[in-house]
Amino acid sequence: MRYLLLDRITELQPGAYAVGRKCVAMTEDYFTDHFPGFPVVPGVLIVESMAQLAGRLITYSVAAQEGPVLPVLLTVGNARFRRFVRPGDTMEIRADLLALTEGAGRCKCAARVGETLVATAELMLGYDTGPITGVGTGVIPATAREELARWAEQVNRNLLGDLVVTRP
Amino acid sequence: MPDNNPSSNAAEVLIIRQTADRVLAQRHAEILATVQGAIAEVLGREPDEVTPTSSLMNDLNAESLDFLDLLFRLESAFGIKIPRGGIQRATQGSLTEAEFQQNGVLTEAALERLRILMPEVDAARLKTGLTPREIPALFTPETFARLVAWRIGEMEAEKAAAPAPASSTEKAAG
Repeated sequence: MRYLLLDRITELQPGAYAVGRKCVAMTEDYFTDHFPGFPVVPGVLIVESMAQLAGRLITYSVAAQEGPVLPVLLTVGNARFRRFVRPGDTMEIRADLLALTEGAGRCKCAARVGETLVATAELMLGYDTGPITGVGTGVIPATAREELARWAEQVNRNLLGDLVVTRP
Repeated sequence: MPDNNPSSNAAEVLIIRQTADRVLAQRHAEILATVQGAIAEVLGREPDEVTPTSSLMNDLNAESLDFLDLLFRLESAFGIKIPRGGIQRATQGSLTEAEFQQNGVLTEAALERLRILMPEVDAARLKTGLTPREIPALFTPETFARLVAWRIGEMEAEKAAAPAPASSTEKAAG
């Protein structure tokens, strides 16, 4: 299955928050097994959509002079799945940046369908921290990181659409 | 041996030590309790498993990810900023790499700094042969309480040094 679980980023304020959208289609792979005759978006994939949005929020919140930022998910806390999300729903996902330091950030995330809150979680993501904390993408080899950075740049431009966002 | 002046080496970390001591003198129990609670949450432990002298790495199986999570929680709980790698940086301070470690082993200057910065650690463990990688294994809740106290003290000093707010004559004139 493809693993880009975000269709659009509609708002992004570096250092503060981001809002994105995931449209849920009947044709998604995982519905075959989850569940046959009763399609429901797996909660963990809602968390993944949140992480993908939070990752972009962090990417655009880090000063441009720090170079390519490739966030990876480090922790998921207090994940709550309050309502089923079904084919035909559009999830609006919001990530609020609680804190951002060298190499890592924490976000409080919420997913809604219309006015209804369907899921919440607190995420911590790390990017290249290497020797400082020993976690994050510091361990990805340099050539892989260049390719990843280029790929991410392309994907992000598609996600942002008309939205123009610049790193501080 | 590197030619660094021992008394200036100590002076640099004594400031940190004294700042922490000053805050701990008033708030030790409260700070330590919050730190222990945060550690228990991060490591998924019962609070009574986290004693003031538990080694986070050796007794509680903490690793770098857990330290990162812990620092975020402590920043939030106390309204402070803790530079990542703050303990390591304070330990090395202005010492060059060569003045800090030789052949993978901490120099006497580095050990002197550790003894001052970490009074909660038995001095017998801060002896020749200790390597930089073994430093995190020495961290206990007490270590983090000191780290928090230092940052609280620094923040209070910054606030005290900040310029005075606009005078009330501006309000009176309006």
